[in-house]
Amino acid sequence: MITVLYFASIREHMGRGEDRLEAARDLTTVAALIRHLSETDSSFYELSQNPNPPLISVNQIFAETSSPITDGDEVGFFPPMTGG
Amino acid sequence: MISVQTEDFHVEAEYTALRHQAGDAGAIVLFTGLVRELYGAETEVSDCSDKTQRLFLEHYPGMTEKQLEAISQQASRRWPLLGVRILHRVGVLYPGDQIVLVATASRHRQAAFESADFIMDFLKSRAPFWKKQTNQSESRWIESRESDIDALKRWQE
Repeated sequence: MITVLYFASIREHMGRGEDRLEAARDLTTVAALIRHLSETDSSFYELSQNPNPPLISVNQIFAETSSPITDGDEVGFFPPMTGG
Repeated sequence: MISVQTEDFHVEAEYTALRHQAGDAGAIVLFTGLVRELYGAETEVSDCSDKTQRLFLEHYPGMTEKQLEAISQQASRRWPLLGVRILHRVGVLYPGDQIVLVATASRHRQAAFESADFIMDFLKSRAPFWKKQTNQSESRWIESRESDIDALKRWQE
């Protein structure tokens, strides 16, 4: 199982905070996950077409599209941060 | 000490705790960030209708604490610190409320000043917090600022 989390404006755009996906043999990188979500969800497809794509984390550490993912991982998508 | 919390904090209690922890410190710097009435409207200060009524602060539980801990450790590697406290509030806040406290202790003031500045710069762009502003006409997510991203560069020499 791969847990996908959405935050802030991206959570609102998706209309939910979380997705859970069965781990699959071809879901080995963040890029593959993005491809899969874009094909199966029109809201995520819109996100992926945005000139400023979301920031990404894997297991709560900043990641990139080339980062590997595996069963049990938690992947986060979120906008640039505005704390402080 | 790292804390992400909904409740307010007391500067004097944080100062006292750090002072006890830091032993032979010669300098303690405390920074507090407050909710302003105007965000992203620096040029329209006269427009009273656009004042913030409240802010909602969202974060990524788990990752936030990890990032704040990492930033604190980075500061401790760079300066000889005797103690660091970072407190950040989440949830609904109103103009004038305290949002964030960063406190650093060192033997000398330069390390305490610089490390508090460093921690705030990294916190703003590298810790997963997001502000949503509600004013009279709308609610919207505050956009990140180029100047906050640029602020990180001066620490990269």
